[in-house]
Amino acid sequence: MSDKELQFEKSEAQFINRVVAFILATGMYTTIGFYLVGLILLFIKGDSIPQVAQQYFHSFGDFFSSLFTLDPRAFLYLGTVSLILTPVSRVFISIFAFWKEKDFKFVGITAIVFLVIVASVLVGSVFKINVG
Amino acid sequence: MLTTFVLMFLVAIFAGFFGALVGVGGGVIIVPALTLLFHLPIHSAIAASIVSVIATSIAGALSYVDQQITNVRLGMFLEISTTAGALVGALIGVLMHGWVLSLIFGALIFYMAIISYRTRKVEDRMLESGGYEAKTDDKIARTLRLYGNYHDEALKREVNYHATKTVEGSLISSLAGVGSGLLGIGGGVIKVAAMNSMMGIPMKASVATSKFMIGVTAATSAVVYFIAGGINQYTVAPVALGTMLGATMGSLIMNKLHSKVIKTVFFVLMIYLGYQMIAKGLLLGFNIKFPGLL
Repeated sequence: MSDKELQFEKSEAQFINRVVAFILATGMYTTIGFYLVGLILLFIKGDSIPQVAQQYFHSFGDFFSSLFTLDPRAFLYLGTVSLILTPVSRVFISIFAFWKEKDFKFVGITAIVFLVIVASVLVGSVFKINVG
Repeated sequence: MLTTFVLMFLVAIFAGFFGALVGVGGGVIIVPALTLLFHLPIHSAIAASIVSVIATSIAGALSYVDQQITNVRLGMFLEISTTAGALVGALIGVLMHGWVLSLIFGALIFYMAIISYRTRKVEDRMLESGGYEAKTDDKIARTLRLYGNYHDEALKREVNYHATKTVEGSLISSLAGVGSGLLGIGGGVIKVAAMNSMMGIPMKASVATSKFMIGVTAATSAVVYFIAGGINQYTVAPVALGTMLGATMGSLIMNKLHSKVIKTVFFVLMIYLGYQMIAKGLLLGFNIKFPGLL
């Protein structure tokens, strides 16, 4: 491997590393923020809140109205969603980062990983938890 | 109910802290704790655990990516197997009865207790003799440029390494994915074994790359549980925040403690939790009562 190739690889790795680190840090702080607000609201509102948080919001309207009435569940929900989306967006954005570096084999590999995650959305909506 | 939150938060801090000390994610402690102490259904415990695994892996991955030890290309490549495994594992987990999961979990932690007890001196010898440099890349590793290098702080030099047996490494990594989806664990121990013992990647690079992959693997499983309706928001938030906090504290003091004492404590705890999970599974599945069940 020539020095020039090696240098290119190092700069590519550094670029991808920076992108990855930025997404992970943003996602982590967003999640911590939502969770803390949710938990603080939970403590302020105390036992007046519903005992079960299992059920999800039935519609966007339902979700926004609970967000505006400072229902802790809305904030906890946002925290979990942003937490799960952090690695997912890391994968999604990496597709474009590899594209920019003209590393098309890895555009393909990363796209496959993203498709598996998309497939997990389908699997989750078809099958329900066996509570037995 | 607020007391339950505080207790869950404290247990999660302990799990994250202790997990970081022995080099495992908190999942192997979180799932038994939530089912045995808080009597949550195991599916909810697994769902909460897998979400908290994402949280700790992000925190851990960040520090390693900054230090440039992570092999991002290798990680992305192996993620094909780990996410596919996670998808299959989560599907099986969602469909399976809780008591079967309890039994499998109990068996897994017995196994983990035993393998983590064996200490390893092989790594130092490999690094000193330049054993990692001497390996050669296989065809896939060459085409995809999966080799790499990192600066080793202890040795004060660059360590160059190659990737061999990529197919075998991928297959073993997919098992880590299945574990994450089925049982709510990170599966880091399996991924590190695949990279280090199978593919010839140095320990530090394997650990960093494994941390990098765990988030995406766990997210795939978490998506399935989230959409299938297994996630209880009240449980997830204190558990995820607690493990993240505990893992951060644990990684800060890890080097200052005697690893032998920690390993022994971990071994005893795992054997105990393994017994409890199997006893619980047998009780729920066959109504067989074992003494000492929480």
